[in-house]
Amino acid sequence: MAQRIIPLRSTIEPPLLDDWHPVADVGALVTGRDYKTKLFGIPLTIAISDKAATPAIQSGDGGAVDAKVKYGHVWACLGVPARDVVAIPEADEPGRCSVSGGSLGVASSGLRTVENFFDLAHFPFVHTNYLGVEPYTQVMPYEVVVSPDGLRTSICQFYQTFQPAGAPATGEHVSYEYRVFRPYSVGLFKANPHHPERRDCVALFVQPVDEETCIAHSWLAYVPDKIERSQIRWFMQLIMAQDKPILENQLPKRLPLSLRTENSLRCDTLSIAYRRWLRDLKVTYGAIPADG
Amino acid sequence: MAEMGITVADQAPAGQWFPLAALGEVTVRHIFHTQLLGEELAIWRADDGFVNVWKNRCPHRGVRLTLGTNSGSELLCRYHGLRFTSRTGQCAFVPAHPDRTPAKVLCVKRYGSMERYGFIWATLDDGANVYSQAGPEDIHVTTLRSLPFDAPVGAVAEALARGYRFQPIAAPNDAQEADTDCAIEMLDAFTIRVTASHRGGSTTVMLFPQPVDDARTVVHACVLDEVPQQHRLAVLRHHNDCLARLRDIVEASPV
Repeated sequence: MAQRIIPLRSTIEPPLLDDWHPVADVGALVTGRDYKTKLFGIPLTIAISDKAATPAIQSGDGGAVDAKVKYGHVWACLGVPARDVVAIPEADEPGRCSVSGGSLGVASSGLRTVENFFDLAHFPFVHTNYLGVEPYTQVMPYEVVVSPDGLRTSICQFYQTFQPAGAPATGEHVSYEYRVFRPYSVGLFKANPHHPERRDCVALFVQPVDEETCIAHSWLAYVPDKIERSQIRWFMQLIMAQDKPILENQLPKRLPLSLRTENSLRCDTLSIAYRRWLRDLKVTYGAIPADG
Repeated sequence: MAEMGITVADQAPAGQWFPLAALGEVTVRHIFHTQLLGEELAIWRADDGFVNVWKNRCPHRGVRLTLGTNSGSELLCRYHGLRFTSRTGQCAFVPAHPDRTPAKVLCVKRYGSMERYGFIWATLDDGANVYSQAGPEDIHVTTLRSLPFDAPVGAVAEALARGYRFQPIAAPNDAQEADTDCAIEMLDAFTIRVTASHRGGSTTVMLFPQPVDDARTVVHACVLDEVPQQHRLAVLRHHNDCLARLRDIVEASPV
């Protein structure tokens, strides 16, 4: 059977071209060994000479590509950087711990992957007994604010149950705040269980390999805790692995920006705002334009 | 055997009905996944016997309905648990908003379906007339194995109509193929009736090529009779062998 061929775009729109995108988890790089990947369909080779130096990135035609390291990942800019890499104030706090959840390839548009990250209604069905469970399926209303820094929600509440060891199952309302930093970068903020005035941040930095393929790099910046880093990684990878088959069975693969293509629910407030925001930014890579 | 002047449409005419699955494939609480003329379909039977043929896309966020659950009266989407009612395709419940009545627009796309010759048939045409293929619906058939072909429906139908041959049931084991007379009739561009006759008797097989997309076809088939139990396995194997040999020829031919 013929392999699905996704045509390469000849031009990438400036909001994406002149921005930074994740291309590797720093932990995945080995000194002296080339790491190959793709960004917007363009092959990249990443090499580090020693762990401290910034990696060197070359594109397929041999040209050098701007590179930076931030938040545990290597970021690349294929154009002329119009601004800096995503800034997350909570993650920049002194004394923060961080751990990467690993990088997962997904055969879907990175924009679909971002939308899935900030979707609450699927918790009881896709992440059963981890992030939600029936019959606690109700999504309470929330609001979205648009600013030059992206999109930000008010507090999103959801009821989660958990079973402490040797104790009966109990439940509580968790409060999440979502921020969409860039079209392909999103973060979830929740109160730290031991220091409720501070927030832990789960970020998803999505690398658009092409319009219908992406790599989701997950990362957690948390207040120092006794919890095992391997335990955190396990949990983040479990959640991503549960989302992958859903994302890969969503049609069309690219995110439709027209309001008429898919029917939204009340709980899709952020999804509606996100699609409108992409239209306003004139982002079309990984999307089906509203008039297309 | 008479020469056949064959013109087979590669594009199906409007209102054309096609078989998609043997009745035995659409089992209880199952959701059958298939594709017709490039359109993905989810087929499921409710507990009251009604067979739903739906576009394989949840109207909410586009997840394939075939990943979901057939509860016997509703199809539950895998992503957000939306429940779609049998027959109407209307969303009856949205778990994220349990106290609200779902909007009317939250409805799956449905296609006309029916049962004939031991298969579930459907049409993609909204305005299609009720299927009126010659042949009573309560005819006794023996369902044969459906076989997928990596070839367009035109090439497959043409190959079948040109010279599909098989041995009739209860032909003696030492019967030569040359002793068997095969009469092929094209009832329409997608329906081929082949009657194999021998001194001992004759057997009629119906062949229905289903266009999956422009490069793939599934050939459904049945014997127009109830095959006695002692012959069933031999008949199934014989059909499998004959059709698989034809498939090798069709797939090897340049398109």
